[in-house]
Amino acid sequence: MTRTSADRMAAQEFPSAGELERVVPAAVRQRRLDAILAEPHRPHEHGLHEHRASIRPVVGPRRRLAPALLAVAVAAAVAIGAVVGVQSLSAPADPEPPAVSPSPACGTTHAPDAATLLNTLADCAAAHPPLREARYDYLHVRSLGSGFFEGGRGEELSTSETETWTAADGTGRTERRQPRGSSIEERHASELPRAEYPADPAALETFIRDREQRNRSEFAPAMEPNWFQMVEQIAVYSVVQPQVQAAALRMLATKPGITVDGPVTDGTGRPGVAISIPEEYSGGPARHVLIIDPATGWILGSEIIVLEAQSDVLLVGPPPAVAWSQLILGSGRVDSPTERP
Amino acid sequence: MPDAGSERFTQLYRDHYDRVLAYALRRAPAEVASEAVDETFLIAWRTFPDLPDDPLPWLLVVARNAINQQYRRGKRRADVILLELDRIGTPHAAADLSESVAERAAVLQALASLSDLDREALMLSLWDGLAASDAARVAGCSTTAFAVRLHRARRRLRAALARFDEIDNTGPLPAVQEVR
Repeated sequence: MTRTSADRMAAQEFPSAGELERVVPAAVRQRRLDAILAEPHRPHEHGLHEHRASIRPVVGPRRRLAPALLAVAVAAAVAIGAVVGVQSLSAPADPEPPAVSPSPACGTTHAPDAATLLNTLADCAAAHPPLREARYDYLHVRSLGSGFFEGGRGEELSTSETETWTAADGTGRTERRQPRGSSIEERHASELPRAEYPADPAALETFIRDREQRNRSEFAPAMEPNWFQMVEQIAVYSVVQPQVQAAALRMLATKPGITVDGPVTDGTGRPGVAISIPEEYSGGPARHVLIIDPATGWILGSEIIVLEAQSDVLLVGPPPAVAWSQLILGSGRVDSPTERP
Repeated sequence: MPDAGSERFTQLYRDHYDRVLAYALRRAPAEVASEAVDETFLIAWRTFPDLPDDPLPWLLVVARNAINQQYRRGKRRADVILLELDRIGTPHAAADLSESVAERAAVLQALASLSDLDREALMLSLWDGLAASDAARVAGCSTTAFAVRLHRARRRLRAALARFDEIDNTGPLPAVQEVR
């Protein structure tokens, strides 16, 4: 008898049939099926595309790149109340010059509260001209995390860069550069249609709330969307018009619990202003940080800063330090899946 | 009285539930996997009947993303292959393991030692039972790219198994001969 290593692996069924039944017994499956069939069945209603977009395959890694500098800068800014005016930085999503002069307040990293800061940043974003029409949305994201870029085991912090070109129907191309090698993948039309976000804050909030509701399992507890994360996801997964970016910031400005952390420098040396909310990360206290370009209102990146050491969490340094983050290095619209803005 | 759509969806649910659940349990702890599968079929129902003729790859992509969504919501990650290894013991740590358990442990340990891309390619092909074109779609790459990935992964699995067979005092199963 001759067996290959693949034969040997194939023979080791995992999980076993008994395990499947133990995890979800037949009676439970039937109850869940009944609950699903009781749900409205609306395949052709508006919103399906957006819904499917929200569950799209991961185009880029969700673990984010974190400049060690930022944790230090945030901590320093909080500690000493530093206020530093930051000057112009090119908008990552718009290579064209602004059609409208930005507000004199653009560039500020100081505000009495998060709502004031976010509304000012929204004004700066709204001052930019619309993105040009082009076939592909282009995004370039650099990430750092504990090894989960491909569903891995998290034994080390590592960086990854992903460039994606996505057409309206979801077709496109992905280039990944990771410690274990690079890859170029062609993507087929499937679950990746582009989301069309409303450009009005209230409409955007309703849009996201509806989408999250549709995404939620019948069996999951109802919960308020994490608005901070929703705004972050728009930036990381989508190329949006300036008016949509402004709407996202204005929507976020209405939410409680956001702290202005002040001026920071991201991992590429870009100046930004940080805002954050309390977060739990692997059971321990952390802060979820958004870094925004104060000159343009565009999001530069995000981070999770873990505040206390945890045995199973890898950090870039002693806590408080970054556990994961990502930087948006480029974003725009292009005509071909090899072109960069 | 169920309508035709409900009956067809019920058939789809019964035909594919085990494979989607198994896919999820190979990549996430039971709590995360179970909830991800619920979400997957709920989304499938809302999308139904606009599903591909062969819906399994589509369902697995949705399940994968549902798992990732849960992680983003703060669910704790775990390497389920390592958990299974812990459960059954490692081949060189327990001298009294039965031959079949030792073989299982050797395979899992070899698999756990591979990169994430290698592991995913092997699981999609050997455990999820997908053809290369379907596996490529779930993996998010071209069929050609997947084939290359799988070839390399099989080579590294063979090398890893050989290493663990040497470590394991009980040795590989009798009459097992690796094809080079």
